[in-house]
Amino acid sequence: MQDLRTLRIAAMLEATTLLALCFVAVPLKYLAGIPQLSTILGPIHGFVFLSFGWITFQSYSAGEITGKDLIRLIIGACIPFGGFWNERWLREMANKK
Amino acid sequence: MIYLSLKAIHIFAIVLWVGGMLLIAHILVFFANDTQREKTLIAATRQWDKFITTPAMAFAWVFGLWMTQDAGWWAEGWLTTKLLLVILLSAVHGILSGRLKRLAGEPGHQLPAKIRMAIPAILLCALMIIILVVIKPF
Repeated sequence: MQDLRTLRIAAMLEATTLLALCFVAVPLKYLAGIPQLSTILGPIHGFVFLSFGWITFQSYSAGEITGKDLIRLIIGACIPFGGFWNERWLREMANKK
Repeated sequence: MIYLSLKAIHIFAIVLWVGGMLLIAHILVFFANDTQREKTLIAATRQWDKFITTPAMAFAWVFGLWMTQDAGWWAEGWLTTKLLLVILLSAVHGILSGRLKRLAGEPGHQLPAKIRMAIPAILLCALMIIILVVIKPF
């Protein structure tokens, strides 16, 4: 359980880069014709998402979270704002332990 | 096509060869002056994972994403397939790393039998990724 902190930070970062991509970079590219930000943010979000996925699988395999938690975290990471919801839930779970 | 296939198999063989040699060398260094072998073996493998394998994975992601962006490969079919395989390979690494962590915290922890599937999964993913990247078949 001690490493849920790493998972929480990863969830928060993933949620932040996804929001920046969906609500800033993509509208700038398609509505304003400025593709530069999505060119930079796309690969950054890709890296952060892979890191979050890796940490989630590691935490599951280390017995820190259950299979159900793993599915919830991965689904949440694909939805805008879902990562913040995941982070809050992980914090509550860590406080209960 | 034959040249590219030979190149893909060559890279795959070198990755396995060098990876295996480095792991043996690392474990031998740890075993040189030790009697508590099982505990030390787990500690040695964890150290290798933390300082070599995991950073290598992160570097592979960074440079792979960078190269894809630079080359403009995002719409290519081979890249999409390769990305799915990279996600699968990364998940397998996360599972192995987690088991290692658990084993270090709970000595004698019983590993599930399905962990044996990790080796063929790693080999198959690595081989398919190299073939996709070198040959770019579709």
